Amino acid sequence: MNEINFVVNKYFLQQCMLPFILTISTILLIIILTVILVKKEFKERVKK
Amino acid sequence: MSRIFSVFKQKYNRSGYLYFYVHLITELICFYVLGKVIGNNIVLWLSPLIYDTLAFAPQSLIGYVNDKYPKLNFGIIGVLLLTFGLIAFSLNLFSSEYLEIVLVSLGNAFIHIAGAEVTLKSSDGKLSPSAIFVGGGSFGVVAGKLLSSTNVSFWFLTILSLTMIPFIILADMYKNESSSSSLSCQKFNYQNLKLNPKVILLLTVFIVIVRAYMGYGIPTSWNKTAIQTVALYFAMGIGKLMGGILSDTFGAKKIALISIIGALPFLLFGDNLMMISLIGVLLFSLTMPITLGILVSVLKRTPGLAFGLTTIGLLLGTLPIFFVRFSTKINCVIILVLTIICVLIINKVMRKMEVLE
Repeated sequence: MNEINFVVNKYFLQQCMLPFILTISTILLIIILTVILVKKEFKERVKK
Repeated sequence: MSRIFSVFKQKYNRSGYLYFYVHLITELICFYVLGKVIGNNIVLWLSPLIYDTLAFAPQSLIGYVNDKYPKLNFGIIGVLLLTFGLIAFSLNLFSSEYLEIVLVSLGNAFIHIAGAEVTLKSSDGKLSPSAIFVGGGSFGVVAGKLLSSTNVSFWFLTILSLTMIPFIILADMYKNESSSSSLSCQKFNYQNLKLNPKVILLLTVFIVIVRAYMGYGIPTSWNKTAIQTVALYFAMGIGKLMGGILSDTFGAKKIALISIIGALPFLLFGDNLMMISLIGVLLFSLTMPITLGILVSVLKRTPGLAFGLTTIGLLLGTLPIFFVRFSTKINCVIILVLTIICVLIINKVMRKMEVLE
């Protein structure tokens, strides 16, 4: 996607605020869940 | 040279070749839809960010579920999602084009996890099967981009999408046949055993983030025509594929260090010189399967989760391009500094090893 260059600007924020917030929230939520899963995996490994 | 060719011919690479095709077609469909959606509506600026988020981020969660329930065929689920997304887009089934992006992105994520699970579990601890699988994606991306500017029949693409099913089934059969499948990924031992596994995990994900950022930050002013774009993506695909083959031939740590250091001058001075730049991109892409190998070595019981960590790294590395833009000079300085950091990290997190027998 080298040639697809989308930089946040005023127009972008006006048009796409809701999907943008949803997307960023999804990324954060998945990262948090992934960290929890990795921690769980390490704990299980120590138990075994 | 004969050693390299003998790695290509190894039995454990069969699933890699099958998933090379599956990955190629998956990316082709995704980038065809993405290209068409962006072409149709200028307001959908957000499409690439949504696509990247839904195709990359959930792979850790999907991978973890597949690790726990290996009998679920995520490859077939992915093909169905992808094909439905393509049909929905072509027949205009939904009022919002975002929904089609969501469908193809999730299809992409499921197929990636299936490919990672199959190629890693049947790899016998080698990097080449997963590297061959991953390499196919670059060819699909460029093919999809080019096709999105044509009026190719969507029925042709739908049939093309469904042709992935026999490949997935056959690869699953090879995985089940493989002697190493029952041992899962126990033979992956690329990590430095003296270092805390959590630290290895964090540092390796950092390298993936850097690589993803550099993939977009590399100065390529020469890239102006369709043929030059094809050449760029071919270099990326061949680089990823060869990263696994060369690591299995000469040793992963050696190849990782040579590729990171060797790529630097080509990347920095290839802004206007296509051939120089392509050598840099090829060398730089060699590290891709190696970082995956390190993560799987730490998370042996959950290769799907390990693969998902690399895709989260890729997403985080590409995020800056949506928000900031640096000048070529600043980019070169950033690339130089990040390369030095990556060399130090690779040297620390990987154990010195010869080729796995």
